[in-house]
Amino acid sequence: MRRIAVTLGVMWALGVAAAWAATAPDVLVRENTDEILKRIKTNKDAYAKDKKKLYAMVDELVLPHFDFRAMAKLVLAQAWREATEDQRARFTAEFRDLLVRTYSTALLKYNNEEMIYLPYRGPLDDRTAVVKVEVKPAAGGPNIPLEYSFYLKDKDAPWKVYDVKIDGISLVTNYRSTYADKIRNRGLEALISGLAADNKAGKTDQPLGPKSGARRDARAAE
Amino acid sequence: MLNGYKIKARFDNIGGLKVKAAVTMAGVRIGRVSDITFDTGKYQAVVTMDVDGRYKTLPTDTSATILTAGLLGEQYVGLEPGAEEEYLKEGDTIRLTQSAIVLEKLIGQFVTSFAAGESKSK
Repeated sequence: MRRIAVTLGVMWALGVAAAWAATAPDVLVRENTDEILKRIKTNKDAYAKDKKKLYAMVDELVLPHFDFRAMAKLVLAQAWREATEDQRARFTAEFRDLLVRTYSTALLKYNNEEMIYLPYRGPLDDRTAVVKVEVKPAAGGPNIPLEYSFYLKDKDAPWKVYDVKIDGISLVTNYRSTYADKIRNRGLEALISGLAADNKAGKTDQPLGPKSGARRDARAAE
Repeated sequence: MLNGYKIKARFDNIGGLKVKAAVTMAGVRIGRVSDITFDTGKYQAVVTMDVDGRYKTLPTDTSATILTAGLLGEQYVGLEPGAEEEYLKEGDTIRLTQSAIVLEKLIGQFVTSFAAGESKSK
């Protein structure tokens, strides 16, 4: 009887530990951003020469914290409901590749801009949280706000990003309206094959955010 | 509003949105803003919307954007449906939001980026 009680006690303690183990979203953002920028600084030339190394770094540090299936579902919205499981999986994969290529390439333009972590005031409710960061453009001008929206799938799951806002523009709602038009005109299958072709050709989307400040400065420095 | 129900959305900036502003989906008015409060803990605006009871099938991942009618017209909330097959009900909060684009901020950015471009090209 006693042994059972002890076992139960240990299990309970482990359960509590697991529940508390989910790293807070603000810590996730800060630790990962610092690590990514450190690696960009030291390996910039190697990454620029061999994009595969850059993608591998992004794979390791960024992707585990994003829920691309949730993002794809939010982006496709109504079309997701009618899509087959195969279409959903293919769209998720192609969409992820597009984002990775678009934003990894933008990372290469990092030019020692200062990151400002705004105070984190805890989750909005028991399932969602927002972490705010600002990038200080080297050329001066207003800071560029970045906002990471996190959610918890269930109690014991880690926090995952489902939307990013760059300069107030939401990535998900932006793609939602762009893709909705494409799907209405040409269908989901055409959208997926278009994305796949772009990914194969290595094309990137225009990243969201101001076309000024950091990016302009980075171009000037090239 | 007959059998209406209330949903909420949080925004970082609501621009000039006012109580009684329209709430639309696909351009059709389906409700109105019934209350706007300020969350002193999170420094965000909380907009409560009263949705007409005829429209009970708004997916839980519906997004809300603050839009402007015309170039400088009144502001309203535009909703776009998501993919979920569960629907928003009384008291629910919309998780996907897009704040108002504030003209003064855009001008500020344009001016500084223009100035930065000028100084670089010299």
